[in-house]
Amino acid sequence: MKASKTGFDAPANRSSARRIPAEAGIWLFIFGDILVFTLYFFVFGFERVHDLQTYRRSQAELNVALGLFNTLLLLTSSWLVASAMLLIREGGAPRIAALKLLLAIGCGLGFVGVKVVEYAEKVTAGITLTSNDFFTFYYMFTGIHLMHVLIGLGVLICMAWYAYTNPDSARKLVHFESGASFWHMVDLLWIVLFALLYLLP
Amino acid sequence: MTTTTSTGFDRLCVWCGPACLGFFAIALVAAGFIPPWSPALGVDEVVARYREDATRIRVGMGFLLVGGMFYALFTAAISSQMRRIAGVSHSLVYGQLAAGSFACLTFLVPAIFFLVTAYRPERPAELTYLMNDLSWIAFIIPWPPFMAQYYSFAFAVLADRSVQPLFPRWLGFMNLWAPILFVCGLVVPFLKTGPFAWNGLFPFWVPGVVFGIWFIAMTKHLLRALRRPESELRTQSVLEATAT
Repeated sequence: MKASKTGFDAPANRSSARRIPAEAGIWLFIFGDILVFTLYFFVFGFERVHDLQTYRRSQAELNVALGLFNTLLLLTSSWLVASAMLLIREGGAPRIAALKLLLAIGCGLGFVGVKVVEYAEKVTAGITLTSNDFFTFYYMFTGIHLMHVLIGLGVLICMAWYAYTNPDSARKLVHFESGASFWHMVDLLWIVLFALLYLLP
Repeated sequence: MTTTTSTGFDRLCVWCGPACLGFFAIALVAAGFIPPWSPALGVDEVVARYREDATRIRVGMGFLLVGGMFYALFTAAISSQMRRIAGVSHSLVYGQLAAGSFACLTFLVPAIFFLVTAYRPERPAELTYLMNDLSWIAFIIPWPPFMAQYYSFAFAVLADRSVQPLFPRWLGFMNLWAPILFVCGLVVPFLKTGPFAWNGLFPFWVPGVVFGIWFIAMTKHLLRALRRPESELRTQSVLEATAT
């Protein structure tokens, strides 16, 4: 009988126990990231108000269809991750959970691919980081977000691999929840970015 | 194993962290770098500043030069405590040490560049202008050693499987978060104005504040870790091993 030695071995009474998912540390990380991105958004908003013409004109150069497709890809991936988490929490079918995570990774890779296409499209049209203030923000924000997507994909890969090879993945529930929360944050940041960069009237 | 004397030196090394931060802050204020100079300044303006403020730049950058040495000892203190984590990877301990030592250059090199620039302000204007660019960029952008350093520590903390870990887990996550904010330094060479330039909100102010927070959080938890007796850590690891 294995006693729980660390907080990560989840006890069996998950459904009745009320607790905050994942662990405090990852929420600190997520909060910190959201704080910094909020700062980015405020600065963007401030600069935009002072140069509305340029920002509107530049926004028109963005490929909204690709942006929307990316949004759908990330939303789908978040849904798949949440769905996988349900399975892992119940401890029933970890391999199916792993498959769902794999599909989520696929969506994430799709996002990366679309971003590459989008960047290539712009660069060949002569639109770069230094083209104007709007595009500096565009490349910086989407670039830093892309970095988060890549980190998130690494996290999802670890989760998928672990779920696939460990039938008792429910014991490491806290780690899975941390990874899932990070991925949801990445999705949330993109939704705000998409609205701010592509959609603001 | 640890005597009163060696613990005393350990504690001294931890306090080198706040000392480093203090010297760093004094350096910037004394040199007149708060707020930081804009990359968009013209040749004449830059030359005029070096000619008028040569003394304060030399004093301030002297502080920066000295501050760097405290960083080395603080890094050593971090690795010393990391070593006590049960089953810690030696690569991470030495990685932190190596990267932190490497990071001392980020104090030394810009300090020397600024000092040389301010050494002969009467030299041709174009040369001073070039040296100024060199100094500021060397000062603002070298973030990679810090990422290697903080991530080594973060991985060691998060891999700590003890019932009562030596460092709190959130500190590990904080060390994962902080270096991501330094990455903006990469675009500094592309821009001369705006929030992403070397005097901007994102390459200068945000990393500066985060750096300060890091020193304070790390100092506090290093002192706390120092206070935990070796015997307590060793019995704890044994408990962990017999559980399996």
